[in-house]
Parts: sequence; C-alpha cells; structure tokens
Amino acid sequence: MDTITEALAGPFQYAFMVRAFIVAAIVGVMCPVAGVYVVTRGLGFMSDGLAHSVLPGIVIAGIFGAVSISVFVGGIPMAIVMALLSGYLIKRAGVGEDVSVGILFAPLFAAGVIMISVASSLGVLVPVSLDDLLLGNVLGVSWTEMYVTLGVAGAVLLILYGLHKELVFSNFDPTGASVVGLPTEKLEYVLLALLSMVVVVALQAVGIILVISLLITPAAAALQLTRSFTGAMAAAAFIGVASGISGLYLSYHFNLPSGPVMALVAFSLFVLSVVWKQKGAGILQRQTS
Amino acid sequence: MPAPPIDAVEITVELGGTLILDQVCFTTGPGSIMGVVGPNGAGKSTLFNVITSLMPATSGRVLIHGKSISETRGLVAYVQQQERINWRLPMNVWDVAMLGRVRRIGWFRRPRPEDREAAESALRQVGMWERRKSLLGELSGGQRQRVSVARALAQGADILLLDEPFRGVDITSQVDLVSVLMELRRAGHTIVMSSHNINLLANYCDECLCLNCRVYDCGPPQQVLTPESLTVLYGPTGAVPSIDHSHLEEHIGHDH
Repeated sequence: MDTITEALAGPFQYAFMVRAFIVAAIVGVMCPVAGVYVVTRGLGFMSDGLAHSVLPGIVIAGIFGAVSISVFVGGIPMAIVMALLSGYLIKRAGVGEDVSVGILFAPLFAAGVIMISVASSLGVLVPVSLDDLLLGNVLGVSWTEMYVTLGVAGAVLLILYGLHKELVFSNFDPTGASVVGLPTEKLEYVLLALLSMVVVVALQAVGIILVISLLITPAAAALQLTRSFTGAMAAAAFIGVASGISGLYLSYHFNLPSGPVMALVAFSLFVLSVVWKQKGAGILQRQTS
Repeated sequence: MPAPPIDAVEITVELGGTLILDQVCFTTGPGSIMGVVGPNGAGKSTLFNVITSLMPATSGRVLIHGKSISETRGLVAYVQQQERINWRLPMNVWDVAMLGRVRRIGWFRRPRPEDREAAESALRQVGMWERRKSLLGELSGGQRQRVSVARALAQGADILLLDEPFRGVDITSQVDLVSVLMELRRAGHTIVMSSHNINLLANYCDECLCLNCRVYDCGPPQQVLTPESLTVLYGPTGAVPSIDHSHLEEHIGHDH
C-alpha cells in the first residue's frame, strides 16, 4: 500500500510536477470537449494545420521578449489569422477545407523554422526550443503559463457552453440554421477562433505534432461509447484527463517524455473504447438472436 | 382577405451572366401542397433559396403572408435534401426537434417548458414521439425526413419547403411521409416540395409549378402534368417521368 501511495504522491514533492498535473488536467478537459465539435464537424486536419502554423508567431513573440508566455502572445493571434485566412480561402477562392489548410500551414511552419535558423545565425537570442514546441514540455510550465492556461481554458469552455445549441445547429444543418436567422458564417469563425486558442494552449503539454492526439483521440473514443453530444463531451473530458494524468505518472516513473506518453495513453484508451463497443454490440446480438 | 402564404412576384436570378430564374411568379394558398417539377438545373433549389432569403433575387420580390421575408423569419422552414445534413452527430430524435427552438430560446439561454412542449407536439404530429430517444444513425431515410419536418414544426413554421423529400426513401416510408404531409395540410400548413417523383406530386398536390428557368405552367396537377406538358418541360430528348395516378393510392387515403 505504501508503495502505491508513494508512487501516486511522489511526483507532488516537486512544484514543477504539481504545475504539470494541473495543466495536464486543464488541457485534458478543454481539448477533448472542443474535440467533440472537431470530430463531428470534420475539422481534424484544420486543427493539425493550426498547430503547425503558429510557429512563426511564437518565434516572433519570443524574440521580442514575451518569453514566459510567448506561446499565448504569439501563438493565439497567429492561429486565429490562419483560421480566418483558411475560412476566407474556402469562401472566396472556392477551394476545399483540406486544400486551404494544406496551402497555408506548410509555408507558415516553414517560415517559423527558417526564422529560428536565421535568428540563430545572426546571433539573436531565440528563447524558444523547437523540440519543446514540437513535442511539448509540460514539465517546464511556469506558474504564469499555468494561470494563463487556466484563464484561456475557462473562457473557451464558457463560450462553448453558451453557444452550444447554435454551434450544434449550424453543424447539423447549416442551411436550416441560416434560414432561421443564425449567423452560421460568424459561428464558424468563432469555432475556428476557439479552436485556435485550444490548440495553442495544448501545445505546452503535447507540442505541435501531438496536439491532435488530445484533441481528436479522446473525443473519438467518447463518441464510440455515448449516445448524446453532452454525454460525449463528459466522457471525452474524462478520457482526456485520464490520458494526461496517467501519462504524466508513467512519464515520471519510467523517465519517458511526457507529451508522447500522454498521446500513447490516449490512443490506448481509444483502442479500448472500440473493443468495448464491439464487445457490447456482440453481447446485444447474442441476446437478441 | 388574408394575404397568401407565399406570393412570388417576377423573381429573376442571374448568376455570372447565366439566367437561373426568369420572372417566376406564383402564389400558394393556406393549407395546400404545391409541387415543383422540373429537370435537374431547372432552378428549383434556387427558387427555395430565394424564398428563404439564402440568396437574393436579382429582381422581383417574395412576400410571406404579405410581409417581407426579413419580417417573417421563422415562419418559413427549409427541409433540405438528406445528404446535405450531418447525420453523424451524436444526437437523438428529441435533440433535433429541439434545434427547431434554438432561435426562440435565444443566445446563451436554456430551453423553457414551452420549448419542450413545442418539440413534443411536433414529434407527435410526425409520428416520431415514440422514437424520440433513437439516435439519428438508427433511423431510416423516411424517419429522418419526418424528424426534419418535426424540427420545422417545432420552429413554429407554417410554410414548409421540402427539397426532394422522397429521394432515397423506400415505398413504405414514402407512404408515412405523405400521410404526415396530408395531416399538416389539414392543420393549415402550406407545403411546397420539389420532387422528381411525378406520380406522388400528381396524386397529392393541390397545385404543381412546372419550372425550367421560367414557369411553364402552374395549376392543378391533372391539368398541368400531362405527357405533352412534361415533354415540353423536360425537352424532347429529356427523360420524361411517366404518370401513374394509381400510385400509392392503395396504401393511403386520397383526400382530394
């Protein structure tokens, strides 16, 4: 028993681990809840594109001194610009959503990498680690970053709660929603802006490459198991927090990188949800036959 | 004398130099079903888009109960083709009916008892109350159409525009849907529906609008849906649907 208690309480002797657990829990709730909208609306690739496209914004914010919160100061506006540009391309240039994301995110990510390279060769201090941005470094989160994470997550969840029925309507039947007078185009932009904030906040925990795992995987797992939107959100949040917390424990005890472990735990839970659903369907079939 | 539910006056729509609708005029009566017939690309969906103000007309106007569309928003509901609706959402029948109340509930507010009553009444009208807990993915094409109609009724609409409501719907579900539409007509709703199923339109519509950019004819189906007029409408080389006036009559009471 003592060993279990020690294993569970052990990480909390370090302040950085306490912050990491808090951020993992916040991100574990926020990403999957937003993820249910993402999965049902088919915005997975858009989310991935947003995560990649924020790099130049973060680098610029870092160079100009916003070191401790450069992810937020540079990342959120950059992601919103990317989301709006993408929406504009879809509406005005008539290209598909995946094409518009593909057109925009690669050059923006490339620009970020080149900016880091050029700044380094010019001797300009770039207080941004590309490795941390790509794979996340939840263990390095400061108190300031934690509070900003909490604030942004609170705002995102509050707005999603307030606009839930309108967002669902415009997702279900955009034309029908427009006919009754809902501003579906503006709602789409609001959702993309919120998604931008979610993606940027999650970068600290799992990084650019793995952010999609916390956004999509818990939501997809929850959708296997539940029969309602709100049920899916609750289940997704539970799976997200479980992925984040257990990922951190595994990372701590086995000395593994935290972001990738969280992503793998989320994937394992998704596989379990699929097996669970199929097993349930098999039991039902046996009962009815 | 009350103004007609829909009064379309010389609607013209031109897109990129192409004439989509050319001075289209028609009126509907209260408690009636109007069928819109025409080949693909005839402008049927464009006409619905103009009536619902999704698309502005280049010229002409539409009056709903004698008022502009913006003044009567909510009275007109658009039941789209099924493939344009996201049926993958984790929602049940009840949730969809409640979507019809979204505008009345208002921003940042939760449903009130009267919203639940309206949703229940709408689901009972279309015969889907018993299936209210069914997921959308568990419904047949016809049941999905009835749920869409329920959403329109919960919205408080008295004019329903249905775009190809029988597409992909099996014969039994067509009968159920027609029964629902007949009941709604009796209750005073005005229904305008486009369909390539000429037999259904011929048997159950009060009037048919023959459209192919312009109005070729408008009147009772017995008068306007003749083989000759359909040949003119669909063109000499077009696939002209045949008319069988006995269609479905064995399944459903015909109350013309």
